[in-house]
Amino acid sequence: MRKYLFLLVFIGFYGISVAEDPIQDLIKQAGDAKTFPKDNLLVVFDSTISDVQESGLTFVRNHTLYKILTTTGAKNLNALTFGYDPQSAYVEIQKATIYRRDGKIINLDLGSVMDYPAPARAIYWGAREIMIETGRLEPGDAVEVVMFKKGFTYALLQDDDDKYIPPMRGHFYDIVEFYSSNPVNLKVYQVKVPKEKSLQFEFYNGEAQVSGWIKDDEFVYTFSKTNMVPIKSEQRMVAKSDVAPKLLISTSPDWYAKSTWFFQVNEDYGSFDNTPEIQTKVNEILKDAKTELDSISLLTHWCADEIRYSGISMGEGEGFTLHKGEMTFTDRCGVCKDKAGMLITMLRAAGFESYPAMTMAGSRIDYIPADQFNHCVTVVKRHDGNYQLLDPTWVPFLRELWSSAEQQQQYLMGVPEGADLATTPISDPANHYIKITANAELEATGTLTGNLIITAEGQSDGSVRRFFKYSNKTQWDQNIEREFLRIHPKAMITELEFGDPMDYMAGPIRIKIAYTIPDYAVVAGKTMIFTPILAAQLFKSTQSHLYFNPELEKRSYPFRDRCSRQVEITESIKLPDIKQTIRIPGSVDKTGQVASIKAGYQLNGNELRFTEQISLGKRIYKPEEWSEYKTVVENQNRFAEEPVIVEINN
Amino acid sequence: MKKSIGLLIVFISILFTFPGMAQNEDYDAVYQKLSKSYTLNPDGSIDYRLSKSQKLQTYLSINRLFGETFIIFDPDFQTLKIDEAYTLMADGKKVITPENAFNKVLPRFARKAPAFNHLREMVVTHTGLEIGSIINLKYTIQTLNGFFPALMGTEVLAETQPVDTLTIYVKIPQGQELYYHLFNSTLKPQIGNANGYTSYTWEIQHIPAISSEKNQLDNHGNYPTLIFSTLDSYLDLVDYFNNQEAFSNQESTLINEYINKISFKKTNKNELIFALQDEIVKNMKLFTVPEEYTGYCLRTPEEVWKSNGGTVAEKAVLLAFMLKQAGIPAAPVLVFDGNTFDKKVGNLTNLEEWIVQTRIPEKEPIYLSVKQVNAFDMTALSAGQVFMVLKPDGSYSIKEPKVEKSSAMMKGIFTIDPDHVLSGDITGELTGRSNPYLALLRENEKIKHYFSGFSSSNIQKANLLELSPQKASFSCQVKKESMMKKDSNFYFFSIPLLKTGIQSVGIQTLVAKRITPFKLSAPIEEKYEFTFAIPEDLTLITNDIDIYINNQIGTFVYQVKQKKNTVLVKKSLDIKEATIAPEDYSDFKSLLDNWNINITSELIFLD
Repeated sequence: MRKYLFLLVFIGFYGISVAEDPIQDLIKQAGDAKTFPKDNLLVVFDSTISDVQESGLTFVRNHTLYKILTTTGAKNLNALTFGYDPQSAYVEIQKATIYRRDGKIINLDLGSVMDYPAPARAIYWGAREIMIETGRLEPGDAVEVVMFKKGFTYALLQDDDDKYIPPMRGHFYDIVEFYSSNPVNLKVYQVKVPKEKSLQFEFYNGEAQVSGWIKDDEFVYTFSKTNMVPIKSEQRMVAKSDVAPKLLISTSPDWYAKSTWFFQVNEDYGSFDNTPEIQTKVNEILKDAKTELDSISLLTHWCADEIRYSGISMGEGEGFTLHKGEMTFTDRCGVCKDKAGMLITMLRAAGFESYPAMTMAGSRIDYIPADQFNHCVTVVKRHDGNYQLLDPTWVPFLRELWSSAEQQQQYLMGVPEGADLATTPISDPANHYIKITANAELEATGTLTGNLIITAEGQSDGSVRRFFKYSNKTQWDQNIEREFLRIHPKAMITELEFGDPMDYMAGPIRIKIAYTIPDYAVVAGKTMIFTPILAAQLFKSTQSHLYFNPELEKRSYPFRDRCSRQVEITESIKLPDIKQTIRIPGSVDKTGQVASIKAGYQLNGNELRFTEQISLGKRIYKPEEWSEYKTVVENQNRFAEEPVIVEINN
Repeated sequence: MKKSIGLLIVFISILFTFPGMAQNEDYDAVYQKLSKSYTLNPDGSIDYRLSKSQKLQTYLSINRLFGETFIIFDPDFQTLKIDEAYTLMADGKKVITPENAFNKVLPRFARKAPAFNHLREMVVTHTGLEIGSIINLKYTIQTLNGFFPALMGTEVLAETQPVDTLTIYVKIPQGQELYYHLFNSTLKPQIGNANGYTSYTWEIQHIPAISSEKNQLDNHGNYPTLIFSTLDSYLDLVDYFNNQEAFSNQESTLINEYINKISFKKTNKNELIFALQDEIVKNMKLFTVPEEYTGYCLRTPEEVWKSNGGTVAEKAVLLAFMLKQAGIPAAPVLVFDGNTFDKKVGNLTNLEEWIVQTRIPEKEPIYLSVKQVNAFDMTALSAGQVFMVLKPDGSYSIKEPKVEKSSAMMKGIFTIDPDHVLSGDITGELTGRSNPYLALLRENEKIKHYFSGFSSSNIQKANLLELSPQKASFSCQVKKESMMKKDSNFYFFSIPLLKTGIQSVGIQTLVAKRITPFKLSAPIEEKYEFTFAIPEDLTLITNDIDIYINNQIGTFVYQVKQKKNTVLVKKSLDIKEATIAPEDYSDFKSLLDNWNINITSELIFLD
């Protein structure tokens, strides 16, 4: 009976009469490539029943029917794969059937299901996948799959089904996406919980049909949505989970409960226990520290730089448990939680009060206390009693302690007193300035000769250092040269100074460059046509906003840059004796709430001066802020595209 | 070509005579010792041992380059044994690599490839890494007899980082022969006999790092490269393939049904050939499993068809099979790296890919890719490589497509009317690597897509006057309303080009210094001659221009002349060699830079 529940729900929705083979009828009536001309695969239905036990252990049954719309869809569905973590989850394919367009039904041999270690890079925790081959499919064919799952993606206990019980024993949560990259005719999610458990839920970014009733000793909640179409993406929009329909559901009472649990689980494990070797290293690192902030900074950057990101498993308890400091110190590697744990261990060894915190890099955490975390960081209590966030994973070779690429991001501290969900503050654009000052002389032949100095701080400093960070020392000069060649094929670097770009704590990056560019200006008789190299967007890669497409008139969704940013550009060019200006691009001065630009040219005698001052106020913007933001980009692009045209004397 | 080889030898001599070209400390890491050992045992099994001692000198090396060692193997036929793994930290402390740092995963290329799901990749996470630490790793892969058709290998005697001592060691049972060829070096192996084995040892010290420069010869073809094998020809290797069921041409009802279905819709053999190539390339998954991990064994065409995906080799054999089933002559073709091919050393480890030879009735053979719907014949795309055609009778033939000069030429006579609408006629021809022969063979109208400056909708009429593998010539009528970009009172007119010329190589910018030969796919000649009749209200402000550069590498010409209301433009580039020696690089850069700058790419008019 359970097996046909989804079907009955579906039939209820669509009023389809029950025939001899309802699946075949559904396939026929679901639509085809003409109904869905932009799609390759159709999900006819996707139904899940989660049966929550008293311990929090959950049995999940999923029943899905796919219909192939195109040969690309057929190609993509040549095998069905499902990932799981064997330490805390169990997955089983209970049925896989192919319904050929001609009516033939093929039940795949479940003995052919493959169970194997998943492909992996950077995190080697023993994740596995199961796969069943569907082979050659044709448009019009359909594939039905019934799955059974139990468990979580992490766990601490190991007896029989115990290992599938979530670490917050007795509690259950789920994050259910009601969106897909394929159209979905019907999605149903049903959860059954023991009556004594309180369940909180909220459906975000849309509506669903919701019902709740009591059946025996359980509450049964059902959420369903029909005719879901893929969300149309906008360039640099926030994560789809921030804007697409989703259900958050949790038995956890509030974030405080999660916070104190997270604190206790790591204290119980001894994640931050000190050792003599660690203490010796801490003493060595802090030997020249003079202030509280010195100590915090030195330890954070040591953990950031010296503990490389590579995760090997601690075995039992991997997941939410931070590796012991001793293990990470010996291995000199770990994932974010292990780097955070190493820093906590070292900070405590130095006498600080420090704890872990969880956050979600890349998308929003909504307020229902379901685990929406993918990243772990550190908090330290300053002498003034305030907690300060530190992220040793995101600040290697970066002059920050907390990466401002994580501003406007939610986090939860795992502190003894408990904490509520909080959001990181906006970082002032002035913390992330990039300043370029150039002086040049343009000869009547068109040759441009000059020098410039580029300095930057914060995230912009990090962007400039990318010219050095990710390549070998022997390539550093050419990385800068290529930036000039992007402006003009004949550009030549004549002098280049950048100190030791890996010594990032010595001060903001400073690069001094002298250059000459033959034939830079187009000289046509007495007319000279040119764009100053800074107006032409030299070092464009350090200004990520310039990669936005400003042609998009309006936005439906919030969008994100890498970080707030301030740009200050000044370029002075000594020109040949000018008879008259033919065209100098007009100035702009737009001061907005979140984004501003003031830029333009000034001509004093034969000296042309180009200045550009830009402020971009935050990382995540609302759709209605797009007009301000795009104005900045449009104007910077305008200065890059519109050359200066002058007529010279002889 | 002879000149190119000479230049290479000169370069290699320089490289290895002056190892101090770049200091070791400038690199991310240094291999203090690197040893690779191959042993053919009397029972036919093969042992491969790798031993490395590598000092890490930068955070880049720790975080991105060498923190893990990845070892792929087939557990059904191979056994991996880690003999030793530890790190010596900068202070000399020894950190033994712990058990949890050895993790078997599925190689990424085998994802969603059920037939290759048994392959494994051992990831060794090196622990205790810091600046100045030394990774020490030794491992052995033992391979059962029969997995490989012979003991064979290809070793470039250089790495991306400097190597203090590199040893390649090959050991075979005494009495057997080893055939080898060391390219780009005169180094001889030390040969010894002991314990029933004959051993060959190549040892080199102080090897500079392989340059990271772009556009180098394929597969580090300018570095010393050793190939070796226990086979003195390709006969046994071809038999090895022919004896597989995949090559037995067994009938397949499923495939025949498909061919019958698709043949019904196609009116001629051309269409059928390309429809089958489309099916293989576009509608079937490509499993990018390197053949060394499959033992060079292929599944049968029917198995590949039913799984809707295959390796390059499997897809090539399937396409050849389907073509033959459709009554079209076809053969799978192995493509070898031309820089390391020796027909007297039977070696598959320098096999680059598989393609398909087929023939349109009454035309020359064509060579189809199974990875892409290739617009250019594979003889043009893979010039310099060695093609081994597996004939239906079980024998093979060798074809070596020559690197021949390509040309892209176009003439045009245009009128720009008072509304600045451009119209006119163009004629042109494309040869060699610039001739999209297969794309045009599929559809003559495709010529409309090969112009830069005109979209296909601007081409009102297009005629292919001649089409052969060697040459395509065409004439077109064009009309474009927005050919000129207005900026204040100026109009900027970009000179149209053919997309298959030097533009297709993607080298708009060239850095000033070069230490390795620069490789183009072919010598190239590109030539444009345009006449524009302009309205009276437009004045060409760039005046007459006459740029002529002739140097060791070739010639660049740009001429603009105005006679009353007629503007004549000539732009040409002639690169004589496909391989540019470092000492000629500045000449090459001079030609390309002048080709790419604005002044030679656009005309500027004043209203």
